[in-house]
Amino acid sequence: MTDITVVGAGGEYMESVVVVAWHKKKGESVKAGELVVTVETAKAATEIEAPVSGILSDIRAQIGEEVAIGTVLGTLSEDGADTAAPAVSAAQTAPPAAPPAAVPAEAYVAAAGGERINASPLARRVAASRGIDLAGLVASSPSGRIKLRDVDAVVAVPAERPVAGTTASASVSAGVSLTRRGSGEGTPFVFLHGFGADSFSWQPLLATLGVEVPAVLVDLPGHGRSPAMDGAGSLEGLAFAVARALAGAGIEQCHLVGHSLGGAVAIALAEAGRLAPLSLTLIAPAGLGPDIDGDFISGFCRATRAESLKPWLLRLFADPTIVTPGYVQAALNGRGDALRQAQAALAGRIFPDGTQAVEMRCALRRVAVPQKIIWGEGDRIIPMRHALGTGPQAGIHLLPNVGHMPHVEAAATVARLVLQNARSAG
Amino acid sequence: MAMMRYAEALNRALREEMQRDSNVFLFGEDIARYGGVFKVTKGLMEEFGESRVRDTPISEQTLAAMAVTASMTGTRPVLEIMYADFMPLVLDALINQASIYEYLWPNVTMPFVLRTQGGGGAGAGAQHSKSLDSLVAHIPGIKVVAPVTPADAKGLLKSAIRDSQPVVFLEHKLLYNLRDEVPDDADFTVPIGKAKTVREGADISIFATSRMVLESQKAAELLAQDGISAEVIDLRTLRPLDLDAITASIAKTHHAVVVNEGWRFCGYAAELSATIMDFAFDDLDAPVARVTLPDMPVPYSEPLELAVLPNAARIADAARATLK
Amino acid sequence: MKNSPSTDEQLEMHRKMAVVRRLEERLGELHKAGKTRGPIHRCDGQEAVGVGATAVLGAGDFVTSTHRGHAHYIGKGVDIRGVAAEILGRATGTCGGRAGHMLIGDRDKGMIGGNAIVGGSIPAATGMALSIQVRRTADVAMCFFGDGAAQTGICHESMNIAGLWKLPVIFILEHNQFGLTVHHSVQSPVADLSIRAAGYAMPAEIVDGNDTVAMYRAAARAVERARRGEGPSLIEAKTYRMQGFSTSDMGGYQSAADLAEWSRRDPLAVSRRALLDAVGAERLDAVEAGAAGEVDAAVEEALAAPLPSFELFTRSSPYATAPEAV
Repeated sequence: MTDITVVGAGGEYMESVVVVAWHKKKGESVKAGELVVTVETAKAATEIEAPVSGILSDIRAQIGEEVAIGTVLGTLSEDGADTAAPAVSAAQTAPPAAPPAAVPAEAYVAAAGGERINASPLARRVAASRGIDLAGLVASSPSGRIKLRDVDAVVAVPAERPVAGTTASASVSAGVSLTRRGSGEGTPFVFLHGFGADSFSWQPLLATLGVEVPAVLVDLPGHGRSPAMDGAGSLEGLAFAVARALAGAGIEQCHLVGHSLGGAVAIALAEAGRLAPLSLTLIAPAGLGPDIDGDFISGFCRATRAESLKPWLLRLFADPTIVTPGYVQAALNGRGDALRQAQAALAGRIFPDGTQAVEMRCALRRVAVPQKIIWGEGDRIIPMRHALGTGPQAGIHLLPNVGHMPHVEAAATVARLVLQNARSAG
Repeated sequence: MAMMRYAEALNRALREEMQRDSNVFLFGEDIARYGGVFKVTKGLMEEFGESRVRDTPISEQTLAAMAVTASMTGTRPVLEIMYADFMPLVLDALINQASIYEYLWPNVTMPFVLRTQGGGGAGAGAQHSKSLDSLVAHIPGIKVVAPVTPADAKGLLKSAIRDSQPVVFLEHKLLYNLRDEVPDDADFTVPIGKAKTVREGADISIFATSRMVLESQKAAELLAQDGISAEVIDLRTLRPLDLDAITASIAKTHHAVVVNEGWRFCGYAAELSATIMDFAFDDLDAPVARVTLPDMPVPYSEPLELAVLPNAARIADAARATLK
Repeated sequence: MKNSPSTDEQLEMHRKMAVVRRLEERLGELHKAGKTRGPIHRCDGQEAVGVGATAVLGAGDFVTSTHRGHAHYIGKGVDIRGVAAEILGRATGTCGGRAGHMLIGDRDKGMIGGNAIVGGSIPAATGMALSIQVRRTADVAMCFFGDGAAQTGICHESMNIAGLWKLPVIFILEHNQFGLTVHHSVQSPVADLSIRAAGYAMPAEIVDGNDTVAMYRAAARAVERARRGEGPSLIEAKTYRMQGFSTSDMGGYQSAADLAEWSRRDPLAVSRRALLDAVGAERLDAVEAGAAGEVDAAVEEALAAPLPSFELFTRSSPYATAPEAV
């Protein structure tokens, strides 16, 4: 017998956790290192892996229950069969190549085989109209009832589409530049940069992720290699343009990673159902509250010279040493006057009067895939408190000594969290 | 438009309709010389005389039966029953009399209005604080309206007086001092059978009656702080129900909370819930939640009374639970 | 003041009583033959009360009745063919078969209407009188109710309000000695209920309810008073219920002596004796035969008439935009 317990996971100041999901049913066999239970603290969801291989013989802490640190959540008993796989930590494990079906991280125990399937009338109707078998779904609600969001989370698994090449290959799809990176096959990670940035801003993160991870880097309209587009002057317009581009490139299923404005675009994409994200990782995302540093937006938009741009770039980071003269020059070179004006126009619509005009909290709550929100505690552009009030689904990770650019400032941590989030989708 | 209290808006409606039609008359306890316990009929006896504005003996059962047959024979009576808690006394007149004659007898109409007020929150105790909406809404052939705003109070009362069928007009004792803009136009009416969306929302529909509409609006504010977008619909007419408004909202939000200040079991909220199941079952993503008075008498002492009355926090809790 | 019926009026009252009597007898037969539905409340022996009192009313006056109202219906001029067809549940009935014998209403005849909630007719007529007073016409409302209904709370409430407001209403207490199967002596401490009128500042008189002429005269006085705006009156008409409470009543509680005594005072016999000198036996026979023939024809016509077809009453739908029947 081996106990499954929470020992200080999830960070300091933690006295208790809430059990969010059991990923194994009682009686199911579990391999050492396999995810068995997700618990949530005030700050983040923590996934607990099986300490040894065995049979999950007892579930003691029920979903929704608050338990003290050190409490036994469940027990594993030896199953006789010697699977003897060594414990593998989450960070070292590559994401599964092809998840069999979309199962939300916070999955609640659905009806076992043979019993009546517990689903809402709407979920039944929509599932029937889409030809989805409810028996294959898992409820995301504490009630155990399959709801519309669970049906919406299901997408037909497309035929495996090989991602071309090991090297980067850029293409323009429907007016939006997409850059493919990585040699690995499987579900790609789509990266959406922030306002005023471009696909190059992901470089530090990609370096940490490694070349096996298939990545698609988007240049949002009016940024990087994508010209400004008519109709892409709003969040919906941006999301639509990106969705069209991804569809044109044959990308139907992906893990979405968005930073700042790109985070809001990611939520809009996931919510609109135009493509099927399996996980959603938001880095200091826009759209979760009205506050934003209006001075930064206007100052950044006005800047045409290194001298005027640098002070604003400094505001992005907790550590000023990142903003080297070379970095400033690269940023300046990255956008010509046409892009600068396009970005200023976009800012006028999305961030009028120094206020975030887009509200994506409701939309985020409707997105039923695993979610993580990563924020730097020293963010001076969008306050990290926006991460609160995003609902019970999102795991929140607050990074100390990090500003508005966690993917640059704490690339390794962000990479680990992105992969962890993707893995929980499988 | 003019700013006025709910009670004044009702007074204005009565006055305009009495000026418009000499067959409209008022009767009830304390309504003439005293001007009504809630001052709704203030000044009307002085203007229209003692024949058309009458103080009555305390005889609710007979007064209601008289309203039925007076309306059947050429007048449009408006009877005030001082408290909704007294409605059980008038039920024979509504159930065994008013409810049947339009169906049984050729060429019979019953254009009478029975005004009453209910609800808790004023420390009036177990016999003066109830909302017995379901008792009257249960009766075929009786229309039931329950306005919340002064403008709706005026417009619906005028419609009720002009209606050819019996209308029970439910007021709420905590609404009489509510002030708002009210149209001056003597032709202004609000149609019976039309709900009003008082707040648009996408995540959940809150269907409420009478004062509970105000609590539901507060609940929607609380929910908004959590990022939940709640739609609030003031039913205004309890019978006949605006089914289209209900089904359209649920088609949008897929979740519903129904709020009524009456008792829960066999209550008006239960009927709303069943109606939603009848007509919007396949649009529901969760069971309909009911927020009502618990099945017990309304207590007297303030903390006890507040403990039973539905309020914004309870409505918000029900909405959150429904959305889980 | 006209307070005595002419010979023609008296003969017409006799004819109407003969119609009602024949109707009651035919209904008894039809009930035994299984051709009626539900209980039938016969008014054999009480015909003079309803026929005599309504004879003084005009077309604009209103009458409210009880569950035992056949004499009131016929007295106020409701067509016997409609009444017979209604009782037999036909589409051609006064109310298309929707109402049945206890609830017949005919707005055009001012007969609105039968009421099977005991006492219900009393506030009903009081409300109509209120309407008349508000509208300032000279019409009156007349209500029939029994000694059983006199014990209800609404009887007290209505008479108090009528007396207080001097409403033009005539309360006809059709005292047939029984409330359901229970004799009035077990339901009230006083034999003469009309003494209550004093408490409502209302004149009252006790009348032989088996004498149409006496009923006519008393009703005429009360109606004239009401038309003058002097307020309500109470007429206590002493009569006797010769049949049971209804056709489902097993009987056995009425004494043979009482039945024999009241049979001797049968209102048709009383009326016939009163008219014999003035019109002769031959004409009375002809009137009675004509009445019987009229009822028989109405019954035959009703039995041949179509049964009604059901239609949902959508005016009472709980939904503003009525969906298909739920």
